[in-house]
Amino acid sequence: MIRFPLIPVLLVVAGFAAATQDRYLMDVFVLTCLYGTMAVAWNLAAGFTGLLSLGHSLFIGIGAYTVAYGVTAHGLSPWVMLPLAVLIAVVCALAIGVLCFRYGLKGYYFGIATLAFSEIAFFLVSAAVWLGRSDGMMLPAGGDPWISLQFRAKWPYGLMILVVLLATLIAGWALLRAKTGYYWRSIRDNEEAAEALGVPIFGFKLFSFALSAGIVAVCGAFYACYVAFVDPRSVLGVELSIQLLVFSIIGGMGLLWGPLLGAAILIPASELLRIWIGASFYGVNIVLYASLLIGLALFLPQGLGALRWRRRVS
Amino acid sequence: MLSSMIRRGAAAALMACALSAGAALAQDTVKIGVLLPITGNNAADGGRMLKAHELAARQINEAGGIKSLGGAKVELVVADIQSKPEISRSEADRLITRGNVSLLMGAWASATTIPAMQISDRNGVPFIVTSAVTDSITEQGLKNVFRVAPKAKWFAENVAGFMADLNTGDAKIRKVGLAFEDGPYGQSVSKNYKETLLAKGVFVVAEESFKTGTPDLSTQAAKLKASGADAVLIVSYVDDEVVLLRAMAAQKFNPVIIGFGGGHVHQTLLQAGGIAEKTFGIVEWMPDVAKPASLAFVKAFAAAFNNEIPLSNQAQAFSSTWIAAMAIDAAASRDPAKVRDALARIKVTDGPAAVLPDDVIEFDERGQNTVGAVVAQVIDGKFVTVWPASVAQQKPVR
Repeated sequence: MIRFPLIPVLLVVAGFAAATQDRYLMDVFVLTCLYGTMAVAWNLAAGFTGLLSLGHSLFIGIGAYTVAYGVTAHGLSPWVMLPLAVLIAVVCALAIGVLCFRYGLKGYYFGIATLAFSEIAFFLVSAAVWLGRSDGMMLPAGGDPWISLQFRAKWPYGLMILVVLLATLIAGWALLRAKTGYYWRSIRDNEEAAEALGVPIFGFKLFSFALSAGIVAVCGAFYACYVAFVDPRSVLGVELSIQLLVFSIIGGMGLLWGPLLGAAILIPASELLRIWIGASFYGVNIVLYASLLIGLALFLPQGLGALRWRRRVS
Repeated sequence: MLSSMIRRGAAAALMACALSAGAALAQDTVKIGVLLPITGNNAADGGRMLKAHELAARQINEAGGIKSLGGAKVELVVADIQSKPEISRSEADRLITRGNVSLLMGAWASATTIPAMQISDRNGVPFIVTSAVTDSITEQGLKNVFRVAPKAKWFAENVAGFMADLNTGDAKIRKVGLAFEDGPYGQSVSKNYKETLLAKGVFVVAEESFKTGTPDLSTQAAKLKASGADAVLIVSYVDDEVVLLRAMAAQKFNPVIIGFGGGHVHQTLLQAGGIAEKTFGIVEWMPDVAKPASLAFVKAFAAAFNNEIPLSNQAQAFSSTWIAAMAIDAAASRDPAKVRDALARIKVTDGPAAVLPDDVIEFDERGQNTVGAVVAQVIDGKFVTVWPASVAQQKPVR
């Protein structure tokens, strides 16, 4: 049922190869892969397990802030902080998951609970002096770039996020075609029925949520290295969580690579609109972008990824 | 035969060179990247800043452009950073790699400025920070970053200096109360106040915080009064300050009041009437700053934009654009590295760039302009610059 996403994988690799010659193209490629990976990870929980999280920015923020703190306060390499970032994110996800699942929060209620946790983190970090408060933290350049992960060139970043994206797609594919994936989908479609049939729903929901959190924490850590600056609004804000949701809905939540498709269309589209129109008619690019979103939502409610399947049926 | 051919060839080559150089000088503009939030949360601020940048660019071009480059015109390449740090970063990258800019300016708030200036620094393109005040911007040792705006902590030093100047005879300020909104803005400014004042031997006898939008601040006013403070430093948005001033007036508590920045120097405060009279406010710049360049800027701005009076950040944007043009002129080159070196050496004492309160605009070895703030007092229902004496319209009234 779940085929290996060969075409998306090949396209992404081809995209990397095409972008190596140009810094700006590589920037667009990196952003696409970064948001694509986060959206794919979000969709593993939301689209395949029915855990509609509205607070994934919490885990992205944990990833970004753990690395930024380690680098700025203790001069540690992001490589050292990365496992710690993932660990903290996973533990947080497990704690939130246990709380929510224990008290049977589902659907939108689960979404609101996750949103609340990410907002709490937002305000805590905004007030924490050792995390730079709302001023944020700057990552210094210098040292061996392969240790500090501060490159002048763009391609190493492209390569790193490419690896993360491919690993996410392969892991997602392997899990979805295995028993885990069938359990997840059964939980999504009818939790009570799945439980009655003996699916250990508590454990598999936790697994899905924690896995998703762990992957976006890696992305958050990458964000910190790439942008070299973190502040609460950019890595803990609710806009970021909503963005993942938009990419997934536009691309198609029923497909593993649907969210990647959404990111791969919307991010370059918003860049192009900004360059072509945004510089001469301020704000028009955003109106057009919004129209594009509305149009896609109206005419392709199942997402762009559903185009193929629908044609085959008719 | 051969020699004549060489001669002719050389002449032709020379002429081609001269022609192309002449064409380049006459037609090619000098590109200056401007990063501003034209859309998003800070859109209003971005739009305001853009007016000042454009006014300066127009003046530069009308005055003959960049003279050392054959009168080349200045072209502002404006990028909308949508009030987001990561967009600011990519736009800086795009202007550097695709836009062929000699220099970048921007990018309103600290959060959108920092990622952009880091990219700029790594690519060896000079970046003028127009308005962001976070201390750390010029404490990272980035050699391509130059800041026209002051550091946040200098406001506290200026306030301490102002209070010292205010101390005459028996009316000395020995005890100070702090009243601040409990968000990051109020907290960070009041923390600076406290540290600086304690170091100068002024006692901080009360610290009252409140949430923005609180309808009644009588409790805070009562505590400030009970503390026996000679002066109250308020760090809040203007609506909260009006509420606090009202509560203090109701309790007949009349200390020296010093408000902060745009949360004080704001039309809303004047509408509050008598309770705002004689209050002070510290701000980067005032339209009545007594300097010829500053007054000329206000006049030109009013003429260009329907009698609008510019705000302090617009003065910074205007000054930054002129400084950029002067640096390019001094470098006689579009090469970012040469412009950078010229910026590091620049010293502005007069001319249109000199609108900011201090006598000289120049950058120290860390790229920081040593600029002070001014204090404005409400006198007869109007904001009047009263400190420092060098740019004041009149003496402070007590």
